[in-house]
Amino acid sequence: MSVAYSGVLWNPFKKKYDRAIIAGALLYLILFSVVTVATNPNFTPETLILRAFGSLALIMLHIILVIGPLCRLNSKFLPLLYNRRHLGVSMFLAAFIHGGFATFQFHALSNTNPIRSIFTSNMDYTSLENFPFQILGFLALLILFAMAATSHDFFLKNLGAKVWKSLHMLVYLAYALIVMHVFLGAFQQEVFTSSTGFVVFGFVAVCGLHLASSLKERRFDRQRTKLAEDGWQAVCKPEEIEEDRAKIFIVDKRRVAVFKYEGKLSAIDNVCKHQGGPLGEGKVVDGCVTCPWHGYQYLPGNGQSPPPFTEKIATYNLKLVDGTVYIDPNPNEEGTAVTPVYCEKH
Amino acid sequence: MALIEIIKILVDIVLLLLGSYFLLGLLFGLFVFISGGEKVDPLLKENSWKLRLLILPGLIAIWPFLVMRLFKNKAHE
Repeated sequence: MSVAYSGVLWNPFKKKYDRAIIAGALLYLILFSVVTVATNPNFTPETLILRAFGSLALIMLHIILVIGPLCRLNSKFLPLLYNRRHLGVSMFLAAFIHGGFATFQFHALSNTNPIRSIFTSNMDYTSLENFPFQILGFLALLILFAMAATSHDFFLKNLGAKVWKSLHMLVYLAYALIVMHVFLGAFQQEVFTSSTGFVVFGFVAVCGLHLASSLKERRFDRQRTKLAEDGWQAVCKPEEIEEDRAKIFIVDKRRVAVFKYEGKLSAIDNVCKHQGGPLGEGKVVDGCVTCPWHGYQYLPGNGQSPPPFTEKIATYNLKLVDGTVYIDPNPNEEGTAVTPVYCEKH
Repeated sequence: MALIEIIKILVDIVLLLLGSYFLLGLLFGLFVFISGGEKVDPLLKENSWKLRLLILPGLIAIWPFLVMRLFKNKAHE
C-alpha cells in the first residue's frame, strides 16, 4: 500500500515464513550432502556444491510454481502465497550460487571471458546429444535475476501491475529453459540422476495443477446469470454469505465480491489493485476487506484503501427485494461511496 | 565463413549489447542511488540509502522503463 516504501514490511507471519525457508534450505543442503557422501564415494566437493544448490533451486522453483494453482484449488494453501516473493528471491540466490560456481569452475580458468566461454566453449548447437546446455541455465538465470531484482513494491508501482505481472510471468520461460538444462545435462553425462526423475514428477505436477485450477476457474466464469426486468441481477440470499466474508458472482463478465459485515452488505470489484488478488476470498478485518494474497485493504462501503493509503477499486449498487440480493451490473467509478444494504444478522 | 565463426561473431555482438545494457543500467542505478530518486518516484523522497541499495539491482535490470518514467515526470512538471 503506497504512501512510503519500506525495505520489507515485516510482520510475525513473514518472519516465521522466512525462518521456514532458511531452515528448509539448510536441512535440504545437509541431507543432500550426507546422502551424497554416503552413496557416492567418488564425489568431489565441487560437484557436491553444484548439485546441492542446483537441486535446491529446482525444488524451490517447483514449490513457487504450484503455490498459485494450489491456492485456487483450495484456500488452505493461501498462507504459502502470502510471502512468495521471499521464496522467489531465495530461489534466485540458490540458482545464482549454482550458476556462479559452475561458471567459475568450468569457464573462469582460461583467457577467455567466462560469459563468452559459456557460449563458445562448446559450439555444438545443432546436436541434441552434445548441445551446450549451460547456455540454457545462463538464460534462465538472467530471467530469474530480473524477477528477483524487481520483486519490491517500488517496481510494482512504477511499472504498473500489468507490465510487472508480464515480467514475472517470464518465470514459465525460465522454467522451460531449466527443464531442458537439467535434461540435456543429465543426458550428456549419461546419468539419469534423481534430479532428472524429480523434474519429470515436478513437470507433471506443475502442468496438472495448472490445468485443474484453470478448469475450475473456467467453470466458475461460465456460470449463467439471470437479469431481472429492471436490469439488476439476482445473486443470493443474505444468509448464504458468512459474516465478515464474501461470495463472488459473475456480473457482466466481471467478478464481483458481495461482502457481509456488521449486518450490512456491500459489493466491490473482486480484483485487488496490488497484484490482482481475489478480494472475495479474503475477510473483513478491522472493518476493512483484506486481500488474502498480501493483505492490501479496502473499505467495503467505498472501495477505498483506508487513509493514508490511496488505492481504489470499483463499487457496485445493491438492493434487497423479498429476501433476495440484487446487484446493478454497472460498476461505479473506483472509490465511489455506496450506501450498504442492511440485512438481518445471522 | 564457417558457421562456427558466424555464431562466434553473433555471440560477441549479443554479449556486447548485454554488457552495454547493464553498464547503462549501473550508471542509471548509481544516479538514482546518489540523487535520492525522487525525480523517478516522489515516494522515494522519505527513504533511506538502504532502500535505494535494495532496489539498485532492479534499477540496473529494467532501467529503460524507469528512464521513461523519469522523462514522463519531467514533462508533467
